[in-house]
Amino acid sequence: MSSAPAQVERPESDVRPDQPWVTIVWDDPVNLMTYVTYVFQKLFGYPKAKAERLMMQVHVEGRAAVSVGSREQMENDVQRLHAHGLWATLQKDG
Amino acid sequence: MRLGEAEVRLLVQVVDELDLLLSGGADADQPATSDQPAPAASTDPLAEMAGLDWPDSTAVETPTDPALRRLLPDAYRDDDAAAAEFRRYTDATLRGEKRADATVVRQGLASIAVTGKRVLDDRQTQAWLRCLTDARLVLASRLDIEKADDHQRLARLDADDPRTMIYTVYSWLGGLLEDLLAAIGAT
Repeated sequence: MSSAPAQVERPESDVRPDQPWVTIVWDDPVNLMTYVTYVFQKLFGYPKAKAERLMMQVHVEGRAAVSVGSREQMENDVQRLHAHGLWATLQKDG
Repeated sequence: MRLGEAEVRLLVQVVDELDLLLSGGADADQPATSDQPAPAASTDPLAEMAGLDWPDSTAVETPTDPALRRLLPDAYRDDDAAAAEFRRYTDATLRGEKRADATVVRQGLASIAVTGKRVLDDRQTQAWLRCLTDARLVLASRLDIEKADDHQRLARLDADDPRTMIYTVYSWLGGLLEDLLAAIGAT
């Protein structure tokens, strides 16, 4: 019924010295693991395996960096994640 | 999406409360339509002159209601000024988007109330996923669910504890979400 999530993975080589910000997704006891995985696939175009790995990292470690880029790009990612009920923040990388 | 009469009534109540929370209670009688997010009164004279739809330029406070704070979290952990700035520019849009999702669900429920079921297209499915998630977050906040093992505590409540009903609804919404995700092949 709905189109499959995009399978294109955002290249790590997108990281440039002038784009040192990351989006962090924080664990919460409410959101379903299947839903979080789905949101990562949908918003970032990650393949399911990568989305699941990030979801498990959030679940086990309490947080995971899900995207990198400029501050403006990360603010946009955070806003989209909040629109989907996930809890995200942005910060400088490193 | 198939729902019985009681389920429809329940979901209508849950979604209406969510919408009221997001509206700030100000326009509780006028839920946002699906193509018009809750308007933020522009205080910027330049924007008005130019006919621009700029975000509200007045400061927006971090919500005191914990449920609302979870729906509209701070974007910066250690920078209150940056978090306030982000909130100022995104609050109206985010509330509007969530209310628009709630409106899609309410429209779906109105249809399901008549026929018992409705085929959801992709746009509607996405709105249902987000709205049901928001509803769960609100209920979880009311139940003080902060840790994973809070669920165990709630599952052991007495049947006549008022929180039992809320927890039952919360769990049921999770099941609906799982069903939707399975229907679109996300599981």
